[in-house]
Amino acid sequence: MLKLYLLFTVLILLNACQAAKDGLTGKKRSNADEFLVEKKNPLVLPPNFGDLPTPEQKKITNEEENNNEIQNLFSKDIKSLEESEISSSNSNIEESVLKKIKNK
Amino acid sequence: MTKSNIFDFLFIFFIFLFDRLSKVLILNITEKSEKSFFEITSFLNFTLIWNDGIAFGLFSFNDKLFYNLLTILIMLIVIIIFFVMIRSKGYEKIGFMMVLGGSLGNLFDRLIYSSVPDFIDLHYNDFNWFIFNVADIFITLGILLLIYLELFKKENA
Repeated sequence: MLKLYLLFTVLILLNACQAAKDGLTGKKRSNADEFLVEKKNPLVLPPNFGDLPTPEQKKITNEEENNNEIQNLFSKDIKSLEESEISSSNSNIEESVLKKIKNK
Repeated sequence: MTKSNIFDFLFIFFIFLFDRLSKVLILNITEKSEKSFFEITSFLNFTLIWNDGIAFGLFSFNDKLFYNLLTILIMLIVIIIFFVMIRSKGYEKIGFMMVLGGSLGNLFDRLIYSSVPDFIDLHYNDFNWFIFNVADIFITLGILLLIYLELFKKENA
C-alpha cells in the first residue's frame, strides 16, 4: 500500500499538466508582447510652473468685452424694435378710431 | 555495459527525444503563426500554456526559491527512479523507464525554460481535461503500469 502512495506522489510531482481553464482564459498563455509595453510616468507639473505668465487671462477679458458689446447691441436693437412697434401700434389705433368716427 | 542496458537507455532516450521534438515543433509553430491555440479535431486542440508548478498546475507560484526547491526535489526523485529502474526487471523496468524518460523531458524544460510547455488539450464539448504534453503521457502510463503490477503481484502472491 505504501508503494502505491509513493507511486501516486511521484505521478503528481513529475507530471506537469495544467488546468485547461488557465489556458483558455489566457492566464498562462505565452505572450511576450506585454513586457514590451513601457509604463508611462505619472503626470507632473513642470518646474517653475507658477512663475510663468498667464496669457489666457487677457484673452478671456477680451472675449468678455466682445460678449458684452454684442449683448448691448442686441439689447439696443430690441429696445428700438419695441419702441417702433409701440409707436406703430399707437398710430394704427388712432387711425382706426378716426375711421370709425368718420363712418358714424 | 550489456546489450539490455543499451536497449534500456535507448528506450529512455527515445521517449525523451519524442517529447522534445513535439515541444520544439509546437513552440516553432506558435512562434511563426503568433497563435497559441489550434483546433485539430472536434475533441483535440493544441493550446500552448506554460506550467511552472507540478501536476494539475499545483504549486505554481512566482517565488523563485520555491521553484528551485521543487526542481531539486524532482531531480532527486529522478535519480532515485534511475537507481530503482536499474535494479528492477521485466514489465516493472519498462514502467520505470517510461517514467524516467518522461520526467527527464519535463526536467529539461524546467532547467532550460524555467517552466514546462503543455499543449495537448483533450475535450468533449465544453468539458476540458487538463492540458498536458507527451512526457506526461509516458509518466502517467508508466505509473499506471507500476500500480497495475503492484496490485496484481500482491494478488498472485
